[in-house]
Amino acid sequence: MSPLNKFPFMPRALSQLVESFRLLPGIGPKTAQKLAFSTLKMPPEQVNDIANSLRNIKSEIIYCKKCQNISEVSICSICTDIDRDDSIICVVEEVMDVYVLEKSRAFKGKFHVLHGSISPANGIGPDEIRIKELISRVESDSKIKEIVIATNLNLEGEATAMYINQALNKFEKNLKITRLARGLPSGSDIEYADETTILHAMGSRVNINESL
Amino acid sequence: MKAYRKKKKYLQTESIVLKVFDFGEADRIFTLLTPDNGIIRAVAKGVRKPKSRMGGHIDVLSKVNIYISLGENLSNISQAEIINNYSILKKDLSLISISFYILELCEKFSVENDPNNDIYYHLSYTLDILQENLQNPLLIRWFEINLLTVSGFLPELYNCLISGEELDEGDHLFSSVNGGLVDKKYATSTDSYIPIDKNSIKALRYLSNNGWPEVNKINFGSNSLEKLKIILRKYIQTITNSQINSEKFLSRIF
Repeated sequence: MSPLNKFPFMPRALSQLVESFRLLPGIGPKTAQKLAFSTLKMPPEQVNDIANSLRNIKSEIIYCKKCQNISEVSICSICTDIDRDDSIICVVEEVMDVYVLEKSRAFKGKFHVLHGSISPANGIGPDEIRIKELISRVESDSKIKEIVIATNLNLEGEATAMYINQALNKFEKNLKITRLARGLPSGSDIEYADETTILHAMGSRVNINESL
Repeated sequence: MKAYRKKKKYLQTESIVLKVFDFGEADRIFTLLTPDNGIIRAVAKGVRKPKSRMGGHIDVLSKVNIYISLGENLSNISQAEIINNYSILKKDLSLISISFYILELCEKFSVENDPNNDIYYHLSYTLDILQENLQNPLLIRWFEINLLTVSGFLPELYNCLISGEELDEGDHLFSSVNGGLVDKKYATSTDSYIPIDKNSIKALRYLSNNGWPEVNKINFGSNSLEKLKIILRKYIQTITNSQINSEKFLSRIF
């Protein structure tokens, strides 16, 4: 039984708002109720601002034609930035990954957002994410010299990386395809590391003079 | 009145990770196949964070020793240690696609809290073979027919489903709805059948009666293997009453 049935006298507008909040990830019935009651207590201007922001997110946000990142214009600010390196593209799964990489300031090239990873068990194959767009971008842009695959380091992310590698290797273009290094996270103890991480960290070890 | 406190239950078991999906901020829900408890769905908290102690141990297609505190709605994974990472399988896209397919089949055929451990050991054995016999389509067919056997869905391969008579050594029809072979002369126009030649029938019988070492020595021919693929997939779809999602990716890669 839905917890909402415990409040048969809840006004329809409020129960509709609770149901709407419940659609968001990580929001359960209790949190949805708390959010709805908080909204009720807010001044009308604030509620209007929230409503407008929600409306605008669908009407004003589009996908960049080049990198598939979210943008307000057809070509996003990262793609039009002339100070960034056109020859290197970092392929990420989600828009959030772009923000994380940008925050680190470790990458000065351009991005390509896949909007997911290959997940066969959930019916997500290469056609369901934006791999085709990446392939046609690489095919048509002669400036691209390197693709950095930064998909997540789980089986689905690995399968996506392998698929992209296979697809891009078909081009006779001299393209360098790289994968983000993996190993021990900064500040961690070796004592608690798992075998897989140790194996990769050993395999990707670097000269001490070359390390950052 | 004395407060009633429910005793918390813990479980330590070996398991194979069948499926995973992200949950909440940094958690993941894992679908685990265990030898004695069937399928268990449990949440690993904070596992998506780089500093998670469990992150490297637990992923799809890993055999792990797992410590779970059982909850009424959702159980919690408190510890995980790798037993086998199947690293050979994870390095090859074709092998990954086969693995995804057989893991999904095991998920469809297993139930929660089922003490029947045959599916677990069949999966574990098949993954070990897959690491040695790379990219052999016969292994997928052998896995499918034996999964049907251990789940109690082996189709009738010797007697006609309608008449009950023993089938002669000829071509017959396969009924995925009724689960087995039907003599052509008894076929009804209302049922849909898949025609099956005598060589494919022999192959199906051989696969269901023999272990992998014997099966691996036989060359069944590509036509028979293709026929078995069509029949078994149709039959599995009928039993599970759903599409096998990984099948599309498998057909594309392998």
